[in-house]
Amino acid sequence: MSTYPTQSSGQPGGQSGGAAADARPLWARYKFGHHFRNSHDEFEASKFGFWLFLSTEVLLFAGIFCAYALFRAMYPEAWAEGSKALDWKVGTINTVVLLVSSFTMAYAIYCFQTDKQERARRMLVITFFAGLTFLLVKFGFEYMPKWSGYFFSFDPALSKYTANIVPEQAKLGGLIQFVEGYGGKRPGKMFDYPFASSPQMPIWWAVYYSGTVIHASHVVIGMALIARAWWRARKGHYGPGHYTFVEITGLYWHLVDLVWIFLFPLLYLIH
Amino acid sequence: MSASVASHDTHGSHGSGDHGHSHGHVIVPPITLGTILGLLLFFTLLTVGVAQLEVWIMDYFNIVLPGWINIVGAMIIATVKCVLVMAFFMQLRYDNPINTIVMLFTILCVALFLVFTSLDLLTRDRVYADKGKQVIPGGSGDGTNSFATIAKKKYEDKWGAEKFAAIKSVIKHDSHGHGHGGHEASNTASRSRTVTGLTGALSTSVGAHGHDAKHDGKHDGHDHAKPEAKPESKPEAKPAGAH
Repeated sequence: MSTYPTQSSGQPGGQSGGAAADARPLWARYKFGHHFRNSHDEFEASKFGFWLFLSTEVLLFAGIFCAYALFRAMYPEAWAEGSKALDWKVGTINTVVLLVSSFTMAYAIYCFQTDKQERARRMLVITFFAGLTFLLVKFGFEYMPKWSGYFFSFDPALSKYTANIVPEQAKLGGLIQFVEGYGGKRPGKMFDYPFASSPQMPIWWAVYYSGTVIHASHVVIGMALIARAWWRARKGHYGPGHYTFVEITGLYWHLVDLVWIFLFPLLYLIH
Repeated sequence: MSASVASHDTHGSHGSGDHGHSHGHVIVPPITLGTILGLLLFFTLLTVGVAQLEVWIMDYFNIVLPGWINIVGAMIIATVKCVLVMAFFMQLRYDNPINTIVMLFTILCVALFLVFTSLDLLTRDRVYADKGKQVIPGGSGDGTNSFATIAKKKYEDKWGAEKFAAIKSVIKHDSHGHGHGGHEASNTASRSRTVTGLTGALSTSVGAHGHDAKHDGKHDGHDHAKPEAKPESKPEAKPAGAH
């Protein structure tokens, strides 16, 4: 009659592996939450809930895209000048990094589904470091020079501005070089760049920074989720029967990828 | 009854063989994932290549491609990539369709958001004429004491006119290989008719920033050698006939 689990199916909720004799891995001992009929419902409900959350995330970024579209229609010169100030090569590198990390994330889930534990953890590590690479490239080759005029000495773009380097302002033993007149590309009233052709450049930089910083903060959150998944995977929490958290983390990570798939051409390619 | 439930309940105790189908946990094989990654990388190169190709075509044939080619091309490719990621990496293709419906509904909401916000874009000056004008950030909003002007003046005072021009000549002709990989003229704003203010029929409300579109001829990478004395409020206005 009842479709709810009976006593014989074990006490629902959490890990039930109290008995020392139970040598099964943690994922095999996992019991679904007591408010679910079965683990299938739990998995589906978790995913459905997370898709609802993702829809709110999409709407959050829709605000940025809306600002982009309207200001672009109003100030096309500022948008052309702005996208010219961004290096498409840096954007392409970051796009490839994120796409590959999306693949490794999906592959990690496949490995958990087929109980390839070690490879699954390795994929999570690769995904994590791909996210870190994205952030470092973003910060080191884009935010830092554009905001302040300080370049890493190994930045290829630096070679174009050698005439403007101020050696006295170099930091960290020459690792960071200062280029006079390059920085100050900042949003709103922080704007401090003397050579803007369009007077609306502060608006472009405001849209650029809001879009990419909100996106980068999502990368950070995704990396934290991946780190947690890796940590728990080491203890055997995830396997063919139970990997909901990894699946959810994967969905979040792919959303980060999706947003970048649109941000990249809008900011870097369309002129 | 409870036996049939148990077959669902003992989720974890299956062998590694049959969990793929019995619980809706679809296993997407690595070969599929790899193919999708390959397609995504291909489309990334394509979208970058198309943008570069447009710049090259415009430079080489000295023609103006309409801006929508650029936008529509990039957005179509981005949408294809987006669908690939959602269908395979996010497994919408194999999932309960309700998740797809959620996403489609969200996209509808985004479209509504965009449409309703842009509805009055061309008619903002119907009631108050100044709503149709450009807003320039900073100062009184009309260009005096704007953030851009203040920054320019600050560094002119700091460096002096000569050093200002010297620094500018290094910074501003950086477009070779930077930005779009093209040179100064490689954007539609400088090559084509420059639109100021609201696009569309509102050319009357452009105000002080309008200028004759006919003067926006082609100019090329040579012009960084010339002293640049143009006022900053006329962004891309350069004399025609560099060629």
